[in-house]
Amino acid sequence: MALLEVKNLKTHFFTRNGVVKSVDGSSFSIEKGEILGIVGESGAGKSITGFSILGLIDSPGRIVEGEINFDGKDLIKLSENELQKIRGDEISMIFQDPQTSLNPVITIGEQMMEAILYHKKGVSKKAAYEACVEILKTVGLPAARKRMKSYPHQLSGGMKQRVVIAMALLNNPKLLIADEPTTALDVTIQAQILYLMKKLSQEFHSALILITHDIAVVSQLCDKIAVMYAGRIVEYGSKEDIIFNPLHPYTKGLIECLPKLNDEKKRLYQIPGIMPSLLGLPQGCYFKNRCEFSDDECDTYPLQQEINGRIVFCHKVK
Amino acid sequence: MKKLTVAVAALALVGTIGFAKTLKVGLASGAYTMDPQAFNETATNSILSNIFDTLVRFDENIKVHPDLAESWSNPEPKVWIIKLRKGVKFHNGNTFNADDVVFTFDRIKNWKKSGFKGKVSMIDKVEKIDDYTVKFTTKKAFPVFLRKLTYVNMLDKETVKGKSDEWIGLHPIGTGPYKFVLWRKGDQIKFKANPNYWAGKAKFDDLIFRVLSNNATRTAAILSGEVDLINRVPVVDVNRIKNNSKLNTFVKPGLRLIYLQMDQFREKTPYVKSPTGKNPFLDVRVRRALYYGINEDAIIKYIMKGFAAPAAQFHPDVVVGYDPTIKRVKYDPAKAKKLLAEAGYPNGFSVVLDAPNNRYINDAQIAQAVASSLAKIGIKVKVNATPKSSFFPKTAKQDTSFFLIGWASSDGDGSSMLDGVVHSKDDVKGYGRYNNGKYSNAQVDKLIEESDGNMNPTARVKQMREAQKIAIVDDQNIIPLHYQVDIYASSKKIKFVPRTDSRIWAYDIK
Amino acid sequence: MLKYILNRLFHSVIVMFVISFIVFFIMFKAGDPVQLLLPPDATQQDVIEMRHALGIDQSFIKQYEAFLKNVAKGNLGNSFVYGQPALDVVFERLPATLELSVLAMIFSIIFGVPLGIIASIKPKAWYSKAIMFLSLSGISVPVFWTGMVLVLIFSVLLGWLPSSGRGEVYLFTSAFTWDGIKHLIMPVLTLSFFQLALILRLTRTGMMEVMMQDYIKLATAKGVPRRVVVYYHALKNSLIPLITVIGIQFGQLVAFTIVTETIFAWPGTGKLIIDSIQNLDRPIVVAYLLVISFIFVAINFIVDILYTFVDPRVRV
Repeated sequence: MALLEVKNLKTHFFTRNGVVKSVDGSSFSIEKGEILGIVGESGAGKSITGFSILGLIDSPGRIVEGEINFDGKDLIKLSENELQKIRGDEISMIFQDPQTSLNPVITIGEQMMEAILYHKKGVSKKAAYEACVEILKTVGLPAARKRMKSYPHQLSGGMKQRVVIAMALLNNPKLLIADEPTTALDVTIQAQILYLMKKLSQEFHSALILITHDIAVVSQLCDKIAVMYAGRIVEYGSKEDIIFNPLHPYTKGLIECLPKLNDEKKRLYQIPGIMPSLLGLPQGCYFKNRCEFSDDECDTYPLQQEINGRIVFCHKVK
Repeated sequence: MKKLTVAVAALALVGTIGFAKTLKVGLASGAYTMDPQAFNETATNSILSNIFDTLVRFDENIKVHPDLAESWSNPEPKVWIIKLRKGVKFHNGNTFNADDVVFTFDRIKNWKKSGFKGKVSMIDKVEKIDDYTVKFTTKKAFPVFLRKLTYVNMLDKETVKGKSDEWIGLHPIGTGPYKFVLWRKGDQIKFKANPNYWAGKAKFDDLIFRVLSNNATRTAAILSGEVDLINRVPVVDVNRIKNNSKLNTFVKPGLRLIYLQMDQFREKTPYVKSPTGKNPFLDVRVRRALYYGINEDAIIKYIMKGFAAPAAQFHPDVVVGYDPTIKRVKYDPAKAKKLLAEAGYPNGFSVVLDAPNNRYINDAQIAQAVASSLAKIGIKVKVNATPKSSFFPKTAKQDTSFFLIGWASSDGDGSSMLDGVVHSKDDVKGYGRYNNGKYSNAQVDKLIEESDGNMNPTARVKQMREAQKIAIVDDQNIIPLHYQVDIYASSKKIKFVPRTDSRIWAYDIK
Repeated sequence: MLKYILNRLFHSVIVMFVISFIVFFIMFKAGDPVQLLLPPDATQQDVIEMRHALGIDQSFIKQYEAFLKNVAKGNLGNSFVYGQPALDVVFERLPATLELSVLAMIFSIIFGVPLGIIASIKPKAWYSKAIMFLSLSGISVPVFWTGMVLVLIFSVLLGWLPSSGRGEVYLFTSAFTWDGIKHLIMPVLTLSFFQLALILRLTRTGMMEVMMQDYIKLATAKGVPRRVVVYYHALKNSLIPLITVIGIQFGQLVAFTIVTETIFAWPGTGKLIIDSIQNLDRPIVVAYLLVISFIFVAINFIVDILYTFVDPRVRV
């Protein structure tokens, strides 16, 4: 049985201007120790998917349909108390912007010890302290013991992100959800952090959901990739399939966008147009207005097709 | 049986001892000092009159009675021999005698900051004849001498001599019916009855004056029973208190006259726009037109809510020099207009009326009402109501053409107003200090000066009445409006008699 | 840290010096108090002598010089009206005002902060809306109306509480005696209405802003219980602007309690200053304003120091 199985997840936001269907029927799964990448433009619904898993959707949004089966339990059906026990313990999350993820008025040490002390009742403060120092060393934070007494503003972006990662790993979670973990960091640090995450996920045997807009990143790290567009998954399969043999026009476009070393073209490829607003979605395939292959057939939403273990939603693929 | 007897006896004992009776009074303003020679103003004088005695005292109708002076004689016009009461002790046990009297008068004379200089200025010498006899020599024959003495509180020489002014201002030792206990500035003053008071112990063992300057607060205090007596009942609350079965209200005409003064000495006056280019107030017909043209009844009814007495002359009836034959004219705007036309102002003129806004009861509103009355006879009045701190200096410099002001004859004698307001301004002789309209009539001046030295009471009053008649009836030097009235409210449990001088003398409260 | 304190002290002295000069000058220009101190029967000579005795017949420079000499000796001159040292008069009344201000502030904080938090968690709930409505009245209803209504109900109609005055004092405050407490209830309530509403609204806004931050979401994602997230993680952050406001408001309370003091005949400095201005009693006005500016400066200083404890990003 898969560690996490998401079936037909629908998370909608009920705003004054209408219903925003941020996630509208996503299904995917992840095995123990696997790395799944969820790729898409901003607003595609990737982060919301991540938040939905942990029940972190705030009003005016809520999960309206679907199942999130984790280790035999449907997370959607759990109470807040039960969810609280799972968060930070069995499932941890890493946020996008390290500058804002840490509480500016509480020490690093205290924020980290919290993660342990609220989950493992019998642990002494001293033991928790030591565990934090250990893991800070593991993530490569220099002067780890001293840093326990520091405040977030005293650390650089890269160092803060290491702290956040360390915090997420403290209780050896079964599943790690990383929401754009390197987007806010310098390019030079990005690679370090990414490889750190891969290494740790292997060391700690945690599954990792890597949410990013950067297809280059998922092509390096992930075992499976799900491509999201306007709230829906348009293609989902193994890394090899998606990267080297993309079927959906959008996926193809994304890969085309990557600059290649031996490219002679002077201009970078762009997918024409922009993703439609979730309040003004077109009838039929959401991508049709930007797709070079679209025609009248695309005025109805494409059905799911499974081709050699990969899932794709496109009329033009057979 | 024995137990019961003891219990009954104990109860009876308690019954006879009784509980200490406290009188609580809510005042509109408090005292500024405990030094009775510092600040000559009503609230301070009223409070301190309970601690200190004077040689002679006013009763509730400002008639002079003996107090620490047992008897006196006036052998020559300028000489007064006063015999002091024997056996009177100060609150600290010291004996009261002539040394204290001489010391008291010397201090006022020599202390630059005393506000009571005016009360002793006519005294030339104060001499001790023996322990209980004092001889006063005045500079000139002075008929108002005894009345002035009612303001000189007797200090204990042994206590006060050599102490700083600040100390004296905090430690009052007198011979009066109450002893000083404590003073919380702006909050309350506590007294305890003087068991050795020469006229007998006061009825109330404890006396507390509470300062409740906010009108609504003062009213609330009497309605809730927290105080037994309040002064200066706000006019709007009178009916409410009248309807309260546990309370009594009292209305007593006071000494203060509210009146208007005009610039009567300049050809060109700064705040008048006159069609003739000349100062209209120089013409007696214009001044009389003002008198006929102001609807004082309406002012009393609507502004003062009936709580004022219409005035026709300088003095209220209890003051020496009052003339019962002078009556207020009826409001007659037609006549006023006629007078104006005769004087050459058929279409009136414009003028600024200066008034204080925080000195007299409803001062600014009265000025406003005067302005509306005068508008009806063609005089356009703009009211300039300012705080007393700017109003009084302004009028003192004659930087005004027309102003509203008040006067209280605090000695109960008409000479104060005649000397201070009616006589021509004469800084050398000390007359007319408040005659800022600078009205001047030599005949009136002569009568006033003569009456000031006339020791024959009947002849004197005749002179004062004549001076008044010329000044106000013939010359219309001021426009009298009304006398202020004091309103008090008390619990029915006490017996209170209001005084013309607005003081609260607790000894008289039963 | 020491350097910082000395620096602040130096600046404060300069501020107070400037204030003393300005106030002195304004009162000098405001007019002659002697007219108001002497009765009508005083002569011109009396006026001249009184002005000389009070020292106000000199030029402005000479008077200010004399004032500064006095300051060096630690006294601010004698009140023209009371004849007592001006500082003494002010200090005699100050405890009453401070007592009201401190108690009103404490009351406002104790009730304002929790209510603000409650109204921020579920802003659309009926109780949140009710709290916000009440806070609106707290801000809009005039102080004197509140005071008078309280007096009408609890003193005149019910007779439960005294309508005015300050109770028995013990150790400088009347809060330790039962009589004192009875007298304190209504003035403190009246004074704190506005403050409570203000603190409530500020807390709510602050909390709502803070609760939207990433670090709050992360704390929740970490499995921190809701209660801790709200009352510790979030509240600690929203305290920062609150401390500034409380500091400023406290200064306001001390300086401008005049209305409450007038209604309840509370013997504080509010009434003293108004009367002294009307009476042109310059020494009191100067002394009072110097004391008040000192209090403001001190409060500012304390707030700044408190800041460094609450917000680690601001360290001296």
